[in-house]
Amino acid sequence: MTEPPVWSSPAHRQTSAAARALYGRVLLFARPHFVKDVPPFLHPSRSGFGLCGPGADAKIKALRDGGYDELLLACPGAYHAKAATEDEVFDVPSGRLFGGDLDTVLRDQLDRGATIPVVPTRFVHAGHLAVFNRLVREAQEINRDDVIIPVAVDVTWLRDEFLRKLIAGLQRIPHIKAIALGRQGNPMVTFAKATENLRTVMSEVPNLGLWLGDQPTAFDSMAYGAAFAVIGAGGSLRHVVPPPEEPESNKPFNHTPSVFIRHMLRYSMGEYIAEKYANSRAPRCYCAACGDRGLESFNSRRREVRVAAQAHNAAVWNGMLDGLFGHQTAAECQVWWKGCCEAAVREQQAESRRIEQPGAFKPSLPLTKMANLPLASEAGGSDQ
Amino acid sequence: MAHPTMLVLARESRGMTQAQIAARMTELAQGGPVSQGYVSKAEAGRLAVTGQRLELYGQAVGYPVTVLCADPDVHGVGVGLVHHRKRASLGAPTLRRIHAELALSRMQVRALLRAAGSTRQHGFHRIEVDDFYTPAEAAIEVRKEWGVPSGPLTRLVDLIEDAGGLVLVRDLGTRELDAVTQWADDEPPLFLFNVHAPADRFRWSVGHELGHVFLHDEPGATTVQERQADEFASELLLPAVDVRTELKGRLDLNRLVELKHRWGVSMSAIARRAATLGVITEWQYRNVMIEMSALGYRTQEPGDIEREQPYWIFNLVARLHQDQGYDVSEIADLVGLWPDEFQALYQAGDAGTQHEVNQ
Repeated sequence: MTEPPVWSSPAHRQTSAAARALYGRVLLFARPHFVKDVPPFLHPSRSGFGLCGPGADAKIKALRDGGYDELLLACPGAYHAKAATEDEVFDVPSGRLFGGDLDTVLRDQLDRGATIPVVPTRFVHAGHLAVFNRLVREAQEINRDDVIIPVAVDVTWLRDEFLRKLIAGLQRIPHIKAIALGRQGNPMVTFAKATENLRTVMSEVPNLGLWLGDQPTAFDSMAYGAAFAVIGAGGSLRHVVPPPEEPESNKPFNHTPSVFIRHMLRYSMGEYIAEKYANSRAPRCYCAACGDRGLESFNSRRREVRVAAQAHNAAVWNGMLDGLFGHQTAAECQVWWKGCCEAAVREQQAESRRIEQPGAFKPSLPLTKMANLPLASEAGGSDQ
Repeated sequence: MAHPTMLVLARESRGMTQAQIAARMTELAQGGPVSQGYVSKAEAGRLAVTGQRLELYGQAVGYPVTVLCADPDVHGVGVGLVHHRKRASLGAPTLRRIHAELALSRMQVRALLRAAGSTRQHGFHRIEVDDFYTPAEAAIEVRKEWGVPSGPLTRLVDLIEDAGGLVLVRDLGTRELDAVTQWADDEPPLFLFNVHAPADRFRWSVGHELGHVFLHDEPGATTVQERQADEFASELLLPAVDVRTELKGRLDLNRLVELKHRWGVSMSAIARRAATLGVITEWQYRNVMIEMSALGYRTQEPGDIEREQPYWIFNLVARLHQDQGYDVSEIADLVGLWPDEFQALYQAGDAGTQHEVNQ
């Protein structure tokens, strides 16, 4: 357990440009239409920025033209819209005489200013073994090492029945890759062993990151062996809804933004926070985005409030990155993270008592797991 | 002269103890008593069983003396891998009885094949699996190899027989074991299924045993082997790609009965598959199981499905009778059974009708 974390010295462990750029970072991904500029509060060495979805490539060009020269990614987000088949696992333009191949798609991203191109993978549904195999084979054949391959799969791939298959497949992909989990709502609450099994994946698969997670899942992954992680700015970028399903949050889309509450390590809707603190003073936030703001103020459906909530969320977890990365060994990092989770669980219980609303803040299943699962050293697991 | 191994096999196949054999021989002899010690020594090969004692022994165990005198090496008794699907509570004596019955069934079927001049070709082979190429993918491979279209696999026993497998359904005298298989490499695999298993569980057992045959060339009912055989059966009978969309929506008990009729798999297995594929949550799965328990469905499910029957061996017997002119007692003698038992085991119905029903 005295080993340094896998991301602590990327230059020594990895020679690829992708590894050098990504290792040891927790990136923020946003929808292109919500972005005017790259948020100024991103941690200079431990974070980075990316855009996901239609228009991502055009937006990063605009950002580059505007002078932004830090880490920047553009993910087509094909897995949000299309399921992979045995014939098509990547989403490349069809019907074109020129430029309808993967290499051109990747070169386009580089030409527009992406630091590392992102392979336009499609979504792999639960139990679609042949499709997953095809994705692994196609990924293996990508003849360049400066790419990231998102592997977007239904969260049930983390179940015991499919876990070894998932790990074996990911291990066969030599490139930098990242796992994105699909499910309506938070995928990690789907079944009890999701957190434990995601840790197993992260510890056993080299060159693997988490793609489009929330803050707790991303930090947990980093503590347990992930090379990097990506957190979505809004709820739709913190998981993947298996296509062709429509996100249930869009039926209709009238909810207030989700707001990250630092000391509870939880996201709550602005409306929910305002309701719970209707009779008491809500927590105030002094993050780089908020300055000084009560969390109940995110109780609005207006676009600028949504943008402000997303900025708050990212600024808060960016402020935690020094804590996450400030450890000499993986074991120390895990102890620190477990302490954060235990404190958050206690805080939710204490805050519910304080506002005299039992169960107002109930720790989620994954957070409870993160607080209670044994450390890797206690479980005899990997020390990554 | 009796062969000691065959004496043991014959006795165990009847589920009798040495003392019971001795008592039965004494009763039949109407003369001097036969002791358990005598039977013990006979089975250990420390004394020769011939003449009148041999006849008595045959009557006591209910087999012609030819069975007791068979050379187990020549007849390949005990050769080949044996797998079974059973409950943990099944006792060792019952398991020994069923294994003995399996060994004798193999001898009987071999005799039928020899008499018919049939060298049964088969398409069974081992499939290597590992973490990446999983038992479920082996099942997909088998479906493709056997030309099974997507959707429900309606005639599983027919498929096994078409692939050259030998299938028998017997009263195994317990409800704690559903199936047992034996496969020696130079012969087709023999599947012995319990008539007491409900039709849906019967089909799952068939899929499970097929999994063993394709996946496992090592003996031993390890947890890993059993899990792999179940994964094989699950994908064989409920292919993920086909079934996932059908499982969506409200999965209540009525819907489970409908799905049971369509896929020929128990309601509980369908609910389990739905949870595995993430179509329902663990909480929903638990609720369905609680509801099924409360209604007694865990022991007796509603929604009967048609029981599959084997036909190939029955047809073989019919051919021997009709085409080659053997009468029942001659065929019974060939296979080493008394005519009454032979008729009960191998002529349970008209062979032609059996296949017609299956089609």
